Amino acid sequence: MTDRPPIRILPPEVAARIAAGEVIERPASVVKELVENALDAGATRIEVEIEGGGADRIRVRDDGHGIPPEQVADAFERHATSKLRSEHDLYAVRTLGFRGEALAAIAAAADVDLITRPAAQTAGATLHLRRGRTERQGSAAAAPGTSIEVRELFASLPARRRFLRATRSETQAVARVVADYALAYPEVAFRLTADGRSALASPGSGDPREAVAAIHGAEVAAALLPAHAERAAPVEGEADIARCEVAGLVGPPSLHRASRAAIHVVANGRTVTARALLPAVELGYEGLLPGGRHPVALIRITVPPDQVDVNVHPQKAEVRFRHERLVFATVQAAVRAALSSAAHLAPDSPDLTAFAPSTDGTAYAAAHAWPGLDLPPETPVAQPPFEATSGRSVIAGARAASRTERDRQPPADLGGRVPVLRPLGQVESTYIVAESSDGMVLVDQHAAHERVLYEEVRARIAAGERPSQPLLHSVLATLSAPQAALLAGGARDLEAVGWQVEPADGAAVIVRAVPAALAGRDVARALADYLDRLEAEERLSGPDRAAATLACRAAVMAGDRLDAAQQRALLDALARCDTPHTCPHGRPTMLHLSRAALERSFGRR
Amino acid sequence: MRIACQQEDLHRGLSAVARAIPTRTTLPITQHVLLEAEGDHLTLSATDAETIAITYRIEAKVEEPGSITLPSRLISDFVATLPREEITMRLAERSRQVSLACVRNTASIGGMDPDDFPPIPTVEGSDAITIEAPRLRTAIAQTVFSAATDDSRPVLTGVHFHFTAGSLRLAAADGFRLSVHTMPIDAKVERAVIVPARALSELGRLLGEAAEGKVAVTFNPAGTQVQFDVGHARLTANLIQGTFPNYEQLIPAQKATRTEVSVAEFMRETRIASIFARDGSGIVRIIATPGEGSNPGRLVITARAEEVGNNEGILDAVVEGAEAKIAFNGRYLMDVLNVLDADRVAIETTSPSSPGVLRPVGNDRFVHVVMPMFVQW
Repeated sequence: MTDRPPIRILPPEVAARIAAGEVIERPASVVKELVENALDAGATRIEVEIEGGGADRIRVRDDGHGIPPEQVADAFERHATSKLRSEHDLYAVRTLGFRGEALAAIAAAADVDLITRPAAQTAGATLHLRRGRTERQGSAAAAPGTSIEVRELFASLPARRRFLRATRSETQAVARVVADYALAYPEVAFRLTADGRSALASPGSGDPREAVAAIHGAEVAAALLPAHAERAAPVEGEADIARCEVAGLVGPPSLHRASRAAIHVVANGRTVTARALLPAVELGYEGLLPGGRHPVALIRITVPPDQVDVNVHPQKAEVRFRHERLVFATVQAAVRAALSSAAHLAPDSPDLTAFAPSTDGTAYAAAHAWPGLDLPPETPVAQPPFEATSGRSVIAGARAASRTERDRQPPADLGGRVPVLRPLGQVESTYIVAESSDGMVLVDQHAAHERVLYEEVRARIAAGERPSQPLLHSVLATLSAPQAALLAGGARDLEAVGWQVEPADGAAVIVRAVPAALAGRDVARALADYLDRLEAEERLSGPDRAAATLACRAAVMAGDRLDAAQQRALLDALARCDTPHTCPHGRPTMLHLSRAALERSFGRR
Repeated sequence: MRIACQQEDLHRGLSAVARAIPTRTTLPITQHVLLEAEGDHLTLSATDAETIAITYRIEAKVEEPGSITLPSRLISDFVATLPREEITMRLAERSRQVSLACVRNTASIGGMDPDDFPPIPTVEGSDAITIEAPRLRTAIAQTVFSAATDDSRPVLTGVHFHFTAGSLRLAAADGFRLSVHTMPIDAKVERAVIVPARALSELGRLLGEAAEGKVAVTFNPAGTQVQFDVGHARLTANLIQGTFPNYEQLIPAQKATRTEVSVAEFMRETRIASIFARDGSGIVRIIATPGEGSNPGRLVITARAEEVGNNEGILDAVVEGAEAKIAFNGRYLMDVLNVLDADRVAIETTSPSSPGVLRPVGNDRFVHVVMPMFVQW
């Protein structure tokens, strides 16, 4: 062991390369650092060009305030920054960059050409660096702002260069970075050109929805619902108050993706991966999305600068909130509020009374609001309250209103109202084919009926009713051990949906009443089936679980023939649901094929 | 086989036996009807090979006896469109093709080997019990709807026939309601059997066509089959084995309130209320208030559907006893009101949670017991 080399302090160049490796991992990190610098420089337009996934060439051009000529050379020194003056500033960072490492790290890893001109200067300054050393410095004519070109990334670090992935995936990583910033800064116009092709262009209008449109398409953008929540809480043992504001846009449950890539989280203007916050977003969608699917969301979190630590990750991709639970709760509240205001989600139970039968037109309209199938409008159409005095005129009013609404509105503007679905028939005795005001809709009859029954049962529970059908003569049923355990554990919830079951000897129970929706079936078998289904119902709990199970057992099954009147009744009832798009398990109830989609498919346009 | 018969007769016979044909089957030949020509008649038969068989005998000129099966749907549809003239049928034995001719129409229909057709049982046993067809028809209509549709307790999917000296009592129950019909008969027999509800539904239709006339009921000695002979038709059914629950104790002996209303009006108001109760539960609420002084008694029927609306209907009623509140499943009420053979009905109740009893006013042949629903008042 005498060969062991002694400990030495690394030469500065080596240290710089190691640090550069932390900051600059792949072309996307270069783009991220340069875009952040541009944003810190107050740019309103940022253009990113890459070639060969960024490994060959990256150019970021902005119209920010530029670097004065006399400071150009210093800009590439390590820990050179204009953004921090003292340690204290580090705990209240308001700029994106602050470590003073970015340009130095980039310069250590590639050849860099800089052209910069503050608006006040007449000429621009140029600087050419090769492997971290200044080769040329001069002046040239230039537009106000800064343009940095990075070539041959990692040419001096062959090991790292070998680890770069295919051009396509590096390009995607760059696109993701630019997209994130375009969403975080809708007031800045971003443009990304990859190998000469325009990959992304955001208008920079300041409207986040337009930024989303540039990235996810106009249809997705139009469907998003505005989300907002603000929370403040005193902190024990501290003078200041923990605050958090969340604003953003979230997709309706009908819009879902196979990955979480469409959930964008921005904290104080900084795009972050925020793994800890993703569950908060998804919890807001609980019970609305099919299993394994993820929502589309843009979440913008604002907290006082001193309540977030951005200096926890070399690439600043992670942040640490001092009051993480508050942030978590605010995000969840914002998502839930957005979904429930659009009537995608029943509000928390106390508000359920708002949906109790009443002649109040606004409650009726709220209960019937529907976001449309895939192209709801940006702002919900105001619905005049019905001046109804009796139940019947409420119905008549609603019918008339929906009819005129439909006639008046173009299809893309369904107005958040219930599209009237006209049943055309059944496929496989399982799906109802219906015509909507915009194309056609396929409805899964079981899922749809489940949703209808689920909401009815919940509304009745909330109203203190227990629609129960007692038996003419009580029935003795024998249960399996797991069934008996479920019965014992959830007795109260089972009673809430209408069961009346008493223990008898051993595994036997006496059934005295069944839920009204199950009346007419064989009692003992209905109870056993119900309990088996209850066991499988893992997503929900408490009365909701009992209600969802009842809905599932009582709903028409796939394979049941439905006549025209039954199909119509089911679609009408579905349209009255608060959350018509998904069944209680989160499976979709319907598929929409819009007129536009039909026209596209048939080559009509 | 070579025969000639009248289109009307053949059409009627084919429609009658087609009712035995199952809607879903794994045995293709049960979609066929068996034709047997012998003597001076043609016998048509169909069966579901499980529960029931129907045969129908029509007059025919039989030039050459024989038998064949033909697809029921095809031959029924074809015969139905023919004019009311003579139809001739000729079977080519080897190819099992039947050539039909009627005036200017001819058709050829392929059949199957009659030996493969499920055997049609013939019951020859005890002396036949004779019942008037319209009476049996009413008795079936008033009970069969109360039978259970779920077959996990097979005895409840049938109607209990109880023959005693001079009377026949039919009863059906599905756990939520009970229907009992009693009628006088001439025969003095002691016997209790359970007849499948499906067989009785079909028998009810055959009886409807027979109008006046008699039904002969025969049981086989083993007590496993029953045969109903009505006119040209014969329906044979396998009996359900088991013990029917003792239902007598389910009919309440007492009542706190007796409310008498018009069947037609009650039916109409219940139907309206059911529109509003058309969510999963179908709750229809009833409040009976006795008359006071010059105010007549009344029955108030209400229903409401969450988020849709509500409804209230008021009927004149003769109310004896205390005010009564009770809620029923609207469908159950309509089922029984539909089959009452009287103008007025008496509703007997004791409490919101005890069974309600409906009886036609003016005859004591029928009694219906139905469990109320649990609701918050």
